[in-house]
Amino acid sequence: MTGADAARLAADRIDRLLAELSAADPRAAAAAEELTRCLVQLYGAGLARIVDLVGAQRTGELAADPLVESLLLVHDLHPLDADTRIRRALSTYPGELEYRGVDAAGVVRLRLSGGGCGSARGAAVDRIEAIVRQAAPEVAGIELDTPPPAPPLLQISRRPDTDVRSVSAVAAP
Amino acid sequence: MTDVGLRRFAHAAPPVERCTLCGTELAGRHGHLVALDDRALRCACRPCYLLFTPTGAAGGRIRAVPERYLADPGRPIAEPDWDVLQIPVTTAFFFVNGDLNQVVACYPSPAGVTESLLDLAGWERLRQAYPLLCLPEPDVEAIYVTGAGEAYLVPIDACFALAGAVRLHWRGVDGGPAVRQALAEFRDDLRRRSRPYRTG
Repeated sequence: MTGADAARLAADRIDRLLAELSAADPRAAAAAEELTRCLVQLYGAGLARIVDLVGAQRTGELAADPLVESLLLVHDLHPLDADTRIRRALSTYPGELEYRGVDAAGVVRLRLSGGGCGSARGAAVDRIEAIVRQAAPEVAGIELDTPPPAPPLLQISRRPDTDVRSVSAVAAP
Repeated sequence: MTDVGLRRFAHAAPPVERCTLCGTELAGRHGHLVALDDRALRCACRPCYLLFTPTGAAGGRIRAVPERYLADPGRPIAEPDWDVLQIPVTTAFFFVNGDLNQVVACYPSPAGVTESLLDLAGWERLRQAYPLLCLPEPDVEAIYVTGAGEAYLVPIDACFALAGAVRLHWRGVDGGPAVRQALAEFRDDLRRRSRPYRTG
């Protein structure tokens, strides 16, 4: 388990427990939801104070640790802005991808230029979205333009004037 | 994109308070109802609150907490009279439990509200000497007595709000400065709000 996974696994576990509670007792589930909110926000407020006290440079060094970075991202405290983080995360993406920036509404614009069939492209889209979402969970949305799909393969058929019987007559004299 | 994972909690707004009867969103200041069956204080919007102000509404099992504050400034409770009650603290509130027909003494403490049943004969003698003590509606109004013997008739929800503040701020053995300040602010508020009650 990498450090970055720890926050995600904790969140998954919390969601599962809340779902269990919700089935048994919705009022208790609402209280548990609020309890989680209180705790997460308390620790977030503490983290914000720490970031203030140590300054941007030291925070940047601390963010090199994947767990610390994932928690800074949870609380919008990462010293790098979303654009920088997305560029950095996509720099190692192997395919042909154009990053066009984050627009005023907070939507990430990307253009995928590589070829590939529909399902290969679908997998690439999922992967790119996951990379962007992990690097900048605060963005409002992700718009990924893909090139139009290649024209469908042509059905190869017999010439219209071909006569099946005459063909077989030739084959079997 | 909606927040997922821990971000969902980190950026969620605190839940809005809602009327426990109709679900309407409540303003910061709102009325309360006492549900006698589970002896719980419930938040209510103004229209729902008003439904339960007439005597006997909901068979008398749900009662609106009145909003009056009364004082009898000319008649602080004298120390010997207070001692009759044999309660170990100087700040307490008293209310009548209508179901048990008992007087309950409550002390704000670090554990919340500590309740004890009071000697009825002692309370009865006190009521004769201090007529303000005869006025509280059972279950929904209380008599609040400060360390200096000032007595006020107050809505029961105000007492529980004070008890909550005391519990929140309690430090060390005697509560510490924050608790003393909470009690002083509550007393100042009572002095401002209370209308004098005069007998005869």
